[in-house]
Amino acid sequence: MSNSLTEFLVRRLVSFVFMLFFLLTAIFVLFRVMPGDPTAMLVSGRLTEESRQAMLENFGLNRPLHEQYIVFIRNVLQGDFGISFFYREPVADVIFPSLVNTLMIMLPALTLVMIIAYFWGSVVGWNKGTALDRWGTYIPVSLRAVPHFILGLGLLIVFSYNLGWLPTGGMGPIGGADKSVLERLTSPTFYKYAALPFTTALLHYIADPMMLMRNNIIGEREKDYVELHRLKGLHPRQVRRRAARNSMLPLLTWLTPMIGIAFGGQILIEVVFSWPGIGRELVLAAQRQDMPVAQAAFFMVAVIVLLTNLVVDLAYGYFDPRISYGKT
Amino acid sequence: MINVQKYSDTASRARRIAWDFFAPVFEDRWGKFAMTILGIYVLIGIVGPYMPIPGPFEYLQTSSGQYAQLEPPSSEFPLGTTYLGYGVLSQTIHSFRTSLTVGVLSAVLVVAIGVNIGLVSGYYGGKVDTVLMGLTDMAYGLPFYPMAIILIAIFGSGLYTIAAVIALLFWRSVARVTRSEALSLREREFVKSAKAAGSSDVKIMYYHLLPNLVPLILIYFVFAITWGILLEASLSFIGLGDPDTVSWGLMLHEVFGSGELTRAWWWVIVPSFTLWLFIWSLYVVARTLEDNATVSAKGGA
Repeated sequence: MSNSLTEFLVRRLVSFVFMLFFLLTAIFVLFRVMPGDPTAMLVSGRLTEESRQAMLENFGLNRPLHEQYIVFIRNVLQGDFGISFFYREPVADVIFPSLVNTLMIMLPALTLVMIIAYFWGSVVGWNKGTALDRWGTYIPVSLRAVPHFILGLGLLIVFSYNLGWLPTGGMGPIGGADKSVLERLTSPTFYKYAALPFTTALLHYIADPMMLMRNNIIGEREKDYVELHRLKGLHPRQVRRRAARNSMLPLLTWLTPMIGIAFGGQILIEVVFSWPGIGRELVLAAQRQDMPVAQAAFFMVAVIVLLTNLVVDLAYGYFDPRISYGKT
Repeated sequence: MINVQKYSDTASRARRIAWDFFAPVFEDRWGKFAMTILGIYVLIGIVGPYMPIPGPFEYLQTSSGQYAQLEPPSSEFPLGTTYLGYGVLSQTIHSFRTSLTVGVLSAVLVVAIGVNIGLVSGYYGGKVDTVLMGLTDMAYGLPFYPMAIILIAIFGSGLYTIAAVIALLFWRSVARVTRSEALSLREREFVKSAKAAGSSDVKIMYYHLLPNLVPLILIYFVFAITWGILLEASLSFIGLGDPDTVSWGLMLHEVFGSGELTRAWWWVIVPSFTLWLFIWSLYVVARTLEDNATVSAKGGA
């Protein structure tokens, strides 16, 4: 068993590294299949002559292709993504703060989604066929069919424009942007700005895991051990909790693709609420044809998704000893 | 997942399978409602542009000869006008065709790529399977919207690019499900006997296996239409759609960008509602189809 576990870990890590290189190569290739001369594109007229030369030198663009590839990978692995055409600053200085901003919304939102889905899904599933189940599933599923940017626009119109309770966008009053993460997290203003994007993400993502949990527990309800617990005279709530714990694993597997999907959805939420996250940065870079920033933003998101997939897979193996590591 | 026993000896009855599978949608109350909505959408998508309405990018004028900017709904301007003086009704109606085109086009591509890869992978197994499924796993690792945005930034925006991008990213789930079905199907008696009778691999795959996959393909076809419509709307909303083709996403992009979000409620509500209703109906149909699939797997239907 431990042997196959080691093998599983190694295989998973190898595929992670492989995937990373695949991504880098894809970005490298895409950079060069862009219409027109790639170097002309890279060193657009926006840059001064000195930075143009620096860039050519840094990315080895005057060297043969295979050398360029090596230089590119080495630079990226060192966190050097080049210089933004638009900001005229190193891309990393633009990308990393915005990544933090995105995670500040996404991590808490996804965590809460999983917790609520676990509890609410098990409650409605346990009471299948009752009014609680009907309304408790109908409302989240209907919300799910609303595209997230429309959901966001709706919340924006109601809570910011009409009621005036919350700010219309951004991450804080103008001028207060250069606060540290800790300063922001401890200031009440931050939560006022974060409230709407957070709520949008929560409402949009809650339905799928909740329905999954509901289906799991409906299946679990008929198992013998549940009946045994009941006969032993356990309180129905305690029986439900035990069944819920056993229906949790599919929820964890589901989290894997969810991370990627949530990063996608987050982009639209960030655009609606002008949240200065990495998704909004990616959209702006795409519109400005600022390829260094676009590539780096894309790469960072992809790496986070890959990393989370890795962690979830390993956690899944840890939580369920029945899993055979022989299979992929 | 799907009960194929019934059809295994009459392999190519794809149409009957599809009908048997689809019919329950019309028996369900919500299914019937959703199908009616979809019917109306298709109808408007086909005849919309020929209706006696102004073009989507035609400036409207009031009776006094001024440009009709931000006119609220009235008998003169049903559903009101936009900031630039376009008719909301006319833009909305022209958008039906855009959404339908992107949806159907991307669904056809998604299913065509996904089913073929899944079928070949599942049927041949071994090395072919390893390579193709490795490719699928990689496609799964890609974050969807970021990838789409990067591709649009590089190849430019247009309806066909958007459909191609959707296909490029969404074939993965179809391929995976098709493969697992093909894996179980190829062990069945009718495949073995076909092989013994000297059928070629291609014939077995597309003549004997494929018809049994029709229910699955139908489910994913409906899902892919939904993804296509959502993606087009989302990309247009963030300003990366085709700027020359009117769509609900583009309308929402413009109302958001113009800052008239609160004043011009008609300009927000109409495209939002039309888009939501479309997606809702597609979800209902896809869910009902999915339910049929699970029910028959348990031997119910």
